[in-house]
Amino acid sequence: MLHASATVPAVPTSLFDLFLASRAAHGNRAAIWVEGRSTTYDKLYQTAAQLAGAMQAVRSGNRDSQSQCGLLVNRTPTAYCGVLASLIAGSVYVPLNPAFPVDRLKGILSASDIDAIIVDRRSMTAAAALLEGFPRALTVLMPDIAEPQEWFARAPQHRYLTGADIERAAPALPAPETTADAGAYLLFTSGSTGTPKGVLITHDNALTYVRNVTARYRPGPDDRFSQVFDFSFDLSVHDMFVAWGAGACLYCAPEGSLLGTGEFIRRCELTFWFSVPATAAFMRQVRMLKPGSYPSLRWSLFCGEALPMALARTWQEAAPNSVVENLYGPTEATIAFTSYRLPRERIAGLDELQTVPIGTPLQDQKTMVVDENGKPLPDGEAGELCLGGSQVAAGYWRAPDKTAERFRTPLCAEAADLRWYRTGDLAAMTKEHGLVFRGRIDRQTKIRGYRVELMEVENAMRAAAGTDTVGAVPWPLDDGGLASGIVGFVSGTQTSADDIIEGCRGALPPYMVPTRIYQLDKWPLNPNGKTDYKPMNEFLKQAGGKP
Amino acid sequence: MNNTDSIRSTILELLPQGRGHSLLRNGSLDPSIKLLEVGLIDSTRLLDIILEVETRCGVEFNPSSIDFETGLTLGGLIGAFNPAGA
Repeated sequence: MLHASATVPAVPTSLFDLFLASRAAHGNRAAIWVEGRSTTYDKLYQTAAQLAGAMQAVRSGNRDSQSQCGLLVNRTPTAYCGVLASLIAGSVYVPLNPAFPVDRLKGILSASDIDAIIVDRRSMTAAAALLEGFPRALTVLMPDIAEPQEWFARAPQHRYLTGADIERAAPALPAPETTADAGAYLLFTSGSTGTPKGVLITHDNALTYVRNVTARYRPGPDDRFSQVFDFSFDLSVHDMFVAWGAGACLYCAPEGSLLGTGEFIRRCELTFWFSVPATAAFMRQVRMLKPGSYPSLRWSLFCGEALPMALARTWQEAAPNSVVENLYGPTEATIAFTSYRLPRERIAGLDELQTVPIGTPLQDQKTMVVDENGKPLPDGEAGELCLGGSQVAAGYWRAPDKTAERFRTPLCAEAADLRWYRTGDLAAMTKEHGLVFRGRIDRQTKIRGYRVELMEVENAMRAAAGTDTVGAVPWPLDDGGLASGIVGFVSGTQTSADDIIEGCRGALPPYMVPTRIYQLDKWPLNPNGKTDYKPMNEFLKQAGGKP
Repeated sequence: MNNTDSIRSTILELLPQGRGHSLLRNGSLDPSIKLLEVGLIDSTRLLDIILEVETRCGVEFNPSSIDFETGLTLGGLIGAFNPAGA
């Protein structure tokens, strides 16, 4: 089939424009390496344009209005194709992690007003469970299957397009109406009330980020990027569009290959590594970080949670030709907002810090540390970290109250004329190292880089246990203080620990499900009559996490 | 019981019985099942198992023997333990 050519715009206004420019310059080079096979920029473009064409052909409604396309995918070739197809069609893409509970995915489907959904072959089981019980009619695109599935009959409200249908569609050209202020992707993060919060990131937000880090790391077409994040994690956007913007190739780590990570880096001769610190911590514990192990790496980037200093130094020795950087930023401020470059030499005052500083803001972005009233604090004093600039999102998706609460401008003249977000992170600005992370002002935590509101876990525990007396604690913690799981405490219930855990599995993503539940006869309370979590932590330390 | 048998039985003993129960048949497991992909185990539990097998069986885990393209199977995991100091 002939494919119409899309014109490369002089100035990119969408994430897809970055891909398009590299396709024009490097069409025959590999854009992705997935499941042991590479796909060129030309081929990926053609497949995505066809998928977008099929989507557009059946979509009803006004093309001038914003539409959302769900991606129920799991890092297959179709997943990457789906991202590009959504962008070509001018849609906001909404990642739907097939490992998440069906009810959570249904909530995201409803909240985001998705009208089309792309499903890859690995996500068929999740698709059947999700779509059978979802009443609103959707267009379901399944390019990996040739024939209709038996379960389609049980969900006749939807319109299904299989691989054969999609092959017959005329390829689409990029939507001409995509402007920089249009939405690019919509992510849902853990919410303290038990309902995930949506964050819409515009093309302008994302392009600003990609421009900033491209200037900082100067990737080129010979670079080989790691891709270890699932699509519900915004760090995957960095992987895709920093790599594709440079004409480089993205190497997708096979599912379940955690123990093969070292071999993956070596065999693919990666030059860019990007992961959460928890991945590096795991690698260190199974002796994958021996000095000189990864000479091909030029850049080693970490984000998503605090980076322990000792771990960063160990990685630096394992990847001796790479520069180690610690990136920091919440989803609301687009992928990462500050960075700190770890010097190679040991420095007194720096190496004594437990975690690597989070550094200084990316170009043209601003940070401010404020007190509880929103007034700026002098350098050295710890307060809430606020982020301001063109990377900051406009607010939470269809949630004006939550937006008003968190997207607040600090009380000072210098903060005017910028969009601001109050992170809830505690930080202090130091002269020597820039910003240093000091913890949280609330009960949000990170588990393997995923943001977790412990109150959301407790809500699920209450429902499963049938008692209000519950507590969730991040545990176990490694030497650097990184939590790799959650442990629950309950009181006043006859429900067994296994049943509580099973109930939580039905409501929470896997990384938020407590790994163990302890029954307490006497509930610890502080002098104000609120749950006191310190005795729970002490109990876990003494028990070593075991009953 | 030789060392491979003792590593296998230790791993099977430590695998979570809840979610992966249906995959276990009379206390054994298809050695080709991909442990992480089927959700039988997660990274935290995997690390616990590796460290426990090292302690109990006097062996050392060698991650470079895991084929990253195949994924982690029971057979692959058992084969990744060498005698300590080897």
